[in-house]
Amino acid sequence: MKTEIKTGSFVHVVATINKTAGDGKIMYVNPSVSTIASDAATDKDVELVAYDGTGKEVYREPVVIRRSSAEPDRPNEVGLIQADLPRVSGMKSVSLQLKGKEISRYEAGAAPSGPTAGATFGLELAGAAAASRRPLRIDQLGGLQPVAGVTYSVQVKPDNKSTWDTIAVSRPTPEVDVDRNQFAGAKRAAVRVLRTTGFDEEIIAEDTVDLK
Amino acid sequence: MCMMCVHRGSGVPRLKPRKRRPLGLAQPQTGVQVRGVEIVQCVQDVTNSVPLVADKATLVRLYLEPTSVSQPGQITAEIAWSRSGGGDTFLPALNSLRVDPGSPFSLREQREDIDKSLNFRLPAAAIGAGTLNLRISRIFQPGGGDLPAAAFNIAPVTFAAAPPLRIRVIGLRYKAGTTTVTPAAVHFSYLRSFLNRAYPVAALEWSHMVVDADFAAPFDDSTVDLANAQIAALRSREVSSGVDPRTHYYGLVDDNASNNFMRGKAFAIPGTPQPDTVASGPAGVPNGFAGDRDASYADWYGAHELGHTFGRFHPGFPPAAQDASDPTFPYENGCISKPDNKYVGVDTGDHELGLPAAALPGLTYHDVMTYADNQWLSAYTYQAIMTRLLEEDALGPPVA
Repeated sequence: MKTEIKTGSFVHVVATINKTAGDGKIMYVNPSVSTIASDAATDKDVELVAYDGTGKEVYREPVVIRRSSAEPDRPNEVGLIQADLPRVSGMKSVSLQLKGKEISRYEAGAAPSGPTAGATFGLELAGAAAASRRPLRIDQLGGLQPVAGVTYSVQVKPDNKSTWDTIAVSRPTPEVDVDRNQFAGAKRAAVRVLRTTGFDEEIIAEDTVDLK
Repeated sequence: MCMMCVHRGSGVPRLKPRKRRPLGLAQPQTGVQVRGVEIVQCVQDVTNSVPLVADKATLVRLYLEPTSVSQPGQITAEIAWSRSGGGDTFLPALNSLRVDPGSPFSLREQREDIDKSLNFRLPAAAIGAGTLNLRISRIFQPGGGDLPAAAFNIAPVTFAAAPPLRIRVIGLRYKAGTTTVTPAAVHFSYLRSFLNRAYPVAALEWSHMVVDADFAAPFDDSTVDLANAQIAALRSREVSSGVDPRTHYYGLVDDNASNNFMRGKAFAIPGTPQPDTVASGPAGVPNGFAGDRDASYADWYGAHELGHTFGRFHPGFPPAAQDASDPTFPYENGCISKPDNKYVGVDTGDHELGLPAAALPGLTYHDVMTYADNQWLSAYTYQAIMTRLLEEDALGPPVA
């Protein structure tokens, strides 16, 4: 198969696996819209399996285990998995399995309701020790408690750039500092908060902040 | 006008101009002889076999035969360049050099010392994609007359367009006790400059930022896996938000004055174009680390880890420290040349960082994929990365 970049609706999974120790961990699960398809060999012993809300299996495929070069002085048993699963409606969990046995599972959580009105963003006044870093204040999301299987990404698009910079990914809450000095030449920036269960995602807040 | 000159009759004694002793020719009938001309961007041989990248900083190095003059003296030259039937444009050398027929340097010595060749920095108009014709137009004493030059033909060279290196570097800010450790700007600058100078590209599509790491000090062998996992997740988010999917992502982790060294690692060494393969590595002040005494080792270290993401394996040098996972690496001891000194590297320098142009001897410098001192790209690695960059570029825009 020719290597190619494909667009679509995917679920991007990052995980570690140690086949010798028989353990591993799903670390990040997020929606994605593109993948690089290649003919890199998969490991038939290691599969990602997805289920819907009733526990019905909706996806099962072996994965490519990526390994850095083994070094004589540091035997590297840990492989990394980066896979884009085709998103299937109703997906609620993904399981990392070694020879059919589950070694890690990610379960989508129940997202709390978002702000009912448009959120108001701002940058907190900084202390002298952190003049360039200021906590992002989102009035309607203050005090949000972490929920298992629900994470937040925060993206910034300064007024002199056309793409979003991701300043936080897969955080349990959208609390983040904004480094004003990272956006050279920008006076204002759009900021948005994305909430995901890993499979579904929504922008729950978006506003413009003053970087001055 | 010289500030020391005064008008006749002013009463101030004039400086007596120094008489320059004209250089003579050892054999008047043959002229000043030329040993060779190299057109070099990163590494080259005297036949100019290493491909040239269009619009990449390029030096022409002219090697004169010292024994073809009759006495010691300064000498310099001018070359003329032309493109596709256009007229000649003349270009003076950046330097002059002292030649001494009684103590002549060898071609090897000339190639390994930037001050022993006459060097010309080609202008932007000369290095676009296509064929460049060069000839030696003048050899002369600075401030003196022309010297007859022996005939020397410089074969036309071709510059080929190359894709940019699409690279986004993410500084990972972490906690070490109560201290927050953030990579300093100098590390980003050195990495960016090194990639621009040493990789087979004319331009970088570069961006960088700093985010909070999902790990804290102290580090262990798994820290780099955590860094790579975070960078991979972040990359996926950003590609989903409009970043070119051919962009390589690299995580930079400051070593906190050598207190928290995170050994670098690429997520994988892909056998096919796979720009979603991320890597991470350390940054800090080298203090002699791998022979490096400038302000940052993030440059060559990052070039090594990124080399993995372009499919490059380890040559296996030093043998006790590195696996030999690249069985086709062609040069002994991980050097950038075989012992025949065929290849010599040239760093075209970066005036913004105060880095002068330098010749990099092929048996002193080691390929960037080794763990040895004095790192640079060999022609082998340079061309392999060029091939992979072209393959990645051909992935083109995404297809549904």
